[in-house]
Amino acid sequence: MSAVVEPVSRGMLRRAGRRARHWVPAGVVLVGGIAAWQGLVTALDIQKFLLPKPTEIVQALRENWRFLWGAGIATFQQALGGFAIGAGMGVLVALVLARWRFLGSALLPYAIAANAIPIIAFAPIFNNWFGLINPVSKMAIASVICFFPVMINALRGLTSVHPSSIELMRSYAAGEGPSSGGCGFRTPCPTCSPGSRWPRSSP
Amino acid sequence: MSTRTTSLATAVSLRGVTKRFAVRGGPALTALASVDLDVYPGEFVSLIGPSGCGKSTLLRIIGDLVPPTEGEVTVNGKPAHQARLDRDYGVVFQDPVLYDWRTVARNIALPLEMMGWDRERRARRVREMLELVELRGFEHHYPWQLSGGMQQRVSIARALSFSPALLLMDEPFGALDEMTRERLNMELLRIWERSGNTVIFVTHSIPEAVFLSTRVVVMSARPGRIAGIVEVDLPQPRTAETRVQPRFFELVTEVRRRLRAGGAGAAAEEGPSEQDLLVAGEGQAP
Repeated sequence: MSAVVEPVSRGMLRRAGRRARHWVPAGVVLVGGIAAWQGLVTALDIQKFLLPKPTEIVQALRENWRFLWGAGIATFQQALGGFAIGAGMGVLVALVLARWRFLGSALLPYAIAANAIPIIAFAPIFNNWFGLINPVSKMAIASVICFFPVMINALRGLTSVHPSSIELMRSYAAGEGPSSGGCGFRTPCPTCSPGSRWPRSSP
Repeated sequence: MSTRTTSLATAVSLRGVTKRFAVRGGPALTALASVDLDVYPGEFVSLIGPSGCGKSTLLRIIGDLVPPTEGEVTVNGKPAHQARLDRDYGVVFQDPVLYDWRTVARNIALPLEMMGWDRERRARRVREMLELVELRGFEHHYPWQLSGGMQQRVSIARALSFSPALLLMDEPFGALDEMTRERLNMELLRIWERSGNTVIFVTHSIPEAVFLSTRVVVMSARPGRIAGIVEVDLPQPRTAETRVQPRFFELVTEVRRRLRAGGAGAAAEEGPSEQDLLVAGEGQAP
């Protein structure tokens, strides 16, 4: 009876099994880590305000979930908004710097210097600009954190295009002359995409 | 170095082509010195010479990828610049220059997309090209899943996808192992016979040049000039047998002799870094 279903389900089982095995080491570390935490805190009798037990954390989460959920959403929105602003600006500036290289030598030193300023120095200024409780001031801080790594990595991607790649595009008469049609717009796409390493290296 | 005295329209015609590169804090470097060359439709012409003799530069000048300092370049009866805008040639580099984020099929279709071919026509042509370079079944693979030889075949398929009359190849098999190189030599000849293309092929391998070409253009060390042209009268089609014929060895010897006469010395074999040093040293002497 089950012969009809078996070939399918066996294959699926095997695939599911392989996927499960892939996650086993990470799962063991998770469970083991939490168990060790719980055990050590209990054994060494560490004060709650220094390091709570995992069980106590879960309990606190359960008791205050309404408040924590609301706060979490707000934080998430601000982080996402800040990332969008910072990454967007970073990509935009990188595009400009890659297209007009002389701007890079004029502006990059200051971008690097600005990046060295500790974020804590910006925070009060942004709070004054946008208001202490305004989410925009938090987004501004997040965007400053995002901007630099995104910009630098995008710029690196955009300027590390293989010279042959540019010659190839030239051989297709891309982006110039009357016969190029719509290529002027399309050509940058393949040459930009090396910059798509952006998100990976951004905070 | 007499070329044929026919009234045939040339596929490529070079007159007095000179290329000088500016060198910071020194006299300009002459890479090519008044090169004259005619290539006729359907020919397979190799450019061979020591490293730094400007053979790759000459190929790029033909393709209007770098401008000549002096001289006139005609491709398909029009200025090289116009020929490039009209997409009269396809180009294959030593590096296959495939886009990692595009499948084999979409890499081949890249120029077709840029030329605004519709989807169905593109798909049909990509199928033909995959057939031509014997990569059927690999259309959905990504470049990094292919061997070096297969990647270069994709690059050739892309160059031929829009049926240009002229194919420019810059040491396309230079980075491949000897066995793969010989197999791709055979495949390239088969494609050339079927398509009737004109091919200009840069190489630093003497046997490869002789095996593939109808004519071998031997260039001298910098400044690059044409040191001689060897007509290859080996019978067509060329086969594995061709490589063991006495005439093949005679022609290889002839090319080697001309290279030596052109100042390439014993270093006509591969050895770019050594040769570059040698050429750079000579460049400063005058």
